[in-house]
Amino acid sequence: MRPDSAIEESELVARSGAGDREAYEELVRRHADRLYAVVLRFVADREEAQEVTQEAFIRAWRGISRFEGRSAFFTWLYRIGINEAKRHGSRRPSTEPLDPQEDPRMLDAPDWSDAPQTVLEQRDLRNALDRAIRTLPDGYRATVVLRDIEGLSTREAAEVMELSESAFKSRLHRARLAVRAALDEHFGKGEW
Amino acid sequence: MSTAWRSLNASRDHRWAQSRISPYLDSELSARAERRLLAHQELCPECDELIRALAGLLAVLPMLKLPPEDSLAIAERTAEHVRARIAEWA
Repeated sequence: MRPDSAIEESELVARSGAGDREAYEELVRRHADRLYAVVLRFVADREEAQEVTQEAFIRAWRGISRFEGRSAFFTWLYRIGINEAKRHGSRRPSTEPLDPQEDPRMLDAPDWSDAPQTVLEQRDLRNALDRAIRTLPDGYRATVVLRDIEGLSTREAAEVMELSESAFKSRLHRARLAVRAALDEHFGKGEW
Repeated sequence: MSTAWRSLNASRDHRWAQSRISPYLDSELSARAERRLLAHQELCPECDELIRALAGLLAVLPMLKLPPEDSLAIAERTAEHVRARIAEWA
């Protein structure tokens, strides 16, 4: 028998829809980290992100027998996760950046850019980015999170948000302009 | 084509160019549209600055990605919780 990790996703989805709990657990393992990363940008802290991620998977399990496969499983799952996060966020909104000191490993993350070079500058930039993204309206925040942080294609991200590609691109551009303006305001124009 | 004519065309391109900057940075422009945008960029300091600023932004946004070493722990914790919740209903 093949290990679950070698099974095609479409087969896991079909088996899950028929009530196979082991198949669904493998889907959870495959997608939990990325769903958590998306959800994290819509909620107050890591604990809430974990809670919302779990809740989204429970909702998806309840609905998976009705999932028709017209979109990829993960775009359907992200949509559920973002909606669940918005529900939590509307109960307890937060625009505070996550504190990297809460997780010391974030301070040791690789340097993704040429500048700034120091750990303190990187932490400041990371906090400013997080804060700028959190102040965007949900529908704009999701475009940057899905496309620019999580690296989905325009087509995939538009599918998650149930937008046409042209509407998605327009929203994404405006969101980027807003994040750029927030960074300019924090660091000075072009100083980040 | 004279330099003055090219300059006039490029300035008329400004509105068109502004809406193509993000698609350009995402490598989603056709070769022809990309040539037109780059020609405009040479003559338009405002678009030049915006292209550079957004390119810089796209370079730093991945700083917010989850550290890869977190992935396994999150997957395990989530799978364990979801398994338990589903088992409660079974």
